[in-house]
Amino acid sequence: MGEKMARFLNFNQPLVKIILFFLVVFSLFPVVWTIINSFKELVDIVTPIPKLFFSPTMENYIYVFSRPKIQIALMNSVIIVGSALMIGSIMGIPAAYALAKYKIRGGEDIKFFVLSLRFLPPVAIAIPLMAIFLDLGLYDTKMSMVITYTLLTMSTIIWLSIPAFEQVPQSIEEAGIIDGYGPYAIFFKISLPIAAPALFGAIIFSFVLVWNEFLIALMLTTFDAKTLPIVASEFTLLGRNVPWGILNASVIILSLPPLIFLGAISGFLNRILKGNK
Amino acid sequence: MAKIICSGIAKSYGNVEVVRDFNLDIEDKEFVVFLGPSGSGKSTILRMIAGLEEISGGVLKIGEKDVTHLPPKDRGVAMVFQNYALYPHMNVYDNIAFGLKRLKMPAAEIKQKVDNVVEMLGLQAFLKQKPSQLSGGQQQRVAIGRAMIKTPEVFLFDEPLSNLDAKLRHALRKEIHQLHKRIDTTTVYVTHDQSEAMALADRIVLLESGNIEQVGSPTEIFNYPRTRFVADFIGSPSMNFIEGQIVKTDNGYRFKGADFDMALDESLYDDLQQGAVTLGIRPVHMQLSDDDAINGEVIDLEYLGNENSLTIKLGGQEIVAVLPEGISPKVGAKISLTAPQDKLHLFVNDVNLYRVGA
Repeated sequence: MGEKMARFLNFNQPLVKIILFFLVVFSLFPVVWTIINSFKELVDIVTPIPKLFFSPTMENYIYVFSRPKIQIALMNSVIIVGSALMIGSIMGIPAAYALAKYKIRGGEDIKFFVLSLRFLPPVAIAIPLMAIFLDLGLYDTKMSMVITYTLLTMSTIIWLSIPAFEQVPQSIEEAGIIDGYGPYAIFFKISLPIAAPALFGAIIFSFVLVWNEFLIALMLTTFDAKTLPIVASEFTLLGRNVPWGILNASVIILSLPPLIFLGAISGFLNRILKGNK
Repeated sequence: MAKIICSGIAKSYGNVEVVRDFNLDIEDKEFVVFLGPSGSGKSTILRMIAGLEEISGGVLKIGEKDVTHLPPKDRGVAMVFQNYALYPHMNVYDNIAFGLKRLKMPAAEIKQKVDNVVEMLGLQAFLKQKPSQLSGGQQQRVAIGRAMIKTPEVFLFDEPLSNLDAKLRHALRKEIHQLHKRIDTTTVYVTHDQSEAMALADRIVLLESGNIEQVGSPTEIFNYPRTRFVADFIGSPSMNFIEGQIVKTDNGYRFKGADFDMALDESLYDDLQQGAVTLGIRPVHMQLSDDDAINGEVIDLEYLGNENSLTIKLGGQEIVAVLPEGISPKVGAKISLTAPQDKLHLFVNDVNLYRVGA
C-alpha cells in the first residue's frame, strides 16, 4: 500500500512536478508579493500595471520602526507573549506530566476541561474577562493580558504535552526508579528530556497562537497594553489613502517571529529525527 | 548474602486477586526462573520483588531484611526489562553510570566501575553511542551492564530476551548463564519460554493463574511433572495425552485405550486404582514396537534433520512421536509404538500418579 502510494507520488514524474510547482507558487505568491511591496514606494504599489522592477526603499520599515506606537506595541507583544509562554510552560508542562503518568481522580475530566477552554469562541472568554479586569482595575494593563494569554498558552501546552509524556515508556521511568531516583528526579532527568522535542513543538504552537491573537487583545486593551497585531491593523484606518507600503512592512515584521520560530523547530526536529535513525 | 523469602505474598487490583498466598524461598546465589503462560502472574510477582508493584499482603524478605514496603532503592535489587528500557537521551556510558551518579560517587571511581562492566560485556566500542544506534542484542547488553554496575544483592530479569531474534536469544542466554556463574548473585528470571527456563534455571517455578504449579530443577520438572498442566507446558513437542481406563488383570495393572492396551509397572506409581485415567507420553520417548503397542496410522511426517516428527492418527485423536532419522514410514502406513515403562505418566484428576524417585 505504502509502496503503491510512493510510486503514485513519484516526485520525478513531470506531471507531479508541474502540479507541485503550481501549488508552491499559489501558496507563496501572496507572501512574496507582500515582501516585494514592503520595499516599494506607494506610487509603485498603486500603479494599475504591477511593477516588477523598481528601486527598493527601506522607508516603509524605517517609518514603521520609528513610530513610538509600534515600538511600544512590539515591546508589549514581546513582554506579554513571553510571560504568558513562560508561565504557561512552567505550570502546564508539569500538569501535563501529572495527567499523563498518574492516575488522578477526575483526571479525564480535567483533560476535557482543559480542552473545552479552546472550544469557546474568543468573544465568550473576552467579555467576562473584560468585566472582571475592569472591576479589578486591571483593564488595559500588561498584567491582565499576561493572565489572559496564560490561560490560552497553558491549556494548549497541557493539551499538546499530555501525548508527549504518554509516549515516554513506563519501563524507562521504572528503570529510573530501580536506579534509585525519586519522582522529581525522574521527571527532570528522564521524562522531560525524552519528551523535550514534542514539548518544544507545543510551546512554539502556543506561541504562534498568542502572537497572532487579535480579537481578545482588541477587547481587553485600549491604549497602554496594545499588542502588535492591534496596532498594525490600525494602519488601515489612517485615512482614505491606505499606506500600502507601511502596511506591508508591518505585516512582515509581525510575521517574522513565528516564521523564525517555525524554521527553528523544523531544523530542530530534523536533527532529532536524524539522530534517532 | 541475599536469600529471598516470600511468605504469603498477595496482589490484588481492587477486588481482582492476581496473586494470592505465594510462598517461596530463594537461596543465596540461586538462579530461579518463573515460568508460565501470559497472565500467570509471573511478572507481577517479579515486580513485587523489585518494588515496582505494591504488595497487597504477606511479607517479603531480601537477605533477612523485611523489604515488603520499602522502595526499590532500599532493596538492593537491579532489573533488566523486556524492552531494554534504556534512557534514549543518554549515551551508553551515561546509561550505565546513571545509577551511580545518584550516590555522589567520585567521577574517577564511576569511570573505573563502568570500564570494568563494559569490558566484561564487550561494549567498549559503543560507549559514546546512543541506544537507538545499537542493535537489540547490544541494547540488552547495556541494560545488563546498567544492572550489574550497582553490584546488587538480587538480579531481576523480566523476559529479557523476548524481543530478540532466535539466534541472538540463544547467544545472549548463554552469556547470562555464564555471567551468573561469574558474579554469583541471586537471580530471579521471568520467561514464558520453557527452553530458556530449562537452560538457565537452578530451579523452575511454574506458575498458572497466580498459583505455583510446581517448583523443581529442570530435570525434576521434565521427568516428574506433578500435574497435567506442567506436563503439557514443559517439553517440545508437547506430551501426548490419551484417555483410557486402568484395569486390574491377573497379570497386574494394564492401561486400556480405545483400541489398544499396555502393561503398567505398579511399582512406579502411588495408589494405582481401577478407573478413568489419562496416559501421558512425551513424543521423544516414543519408540517402535511389535507387541503391547499403540497402533495408528501415519498422517504426517516432518523431517527435522537428525530426527523425524510423526503425526499419528490414533482412534479419534492425533498423537506425535519423534523417532530417529532412519525411521521414516510413508504417510498412510500403519505403525506400532510403545514407550519405556518409566516414561509413562498417569493423570487422575490432572494429578500425576508417578512416584517421584521410584
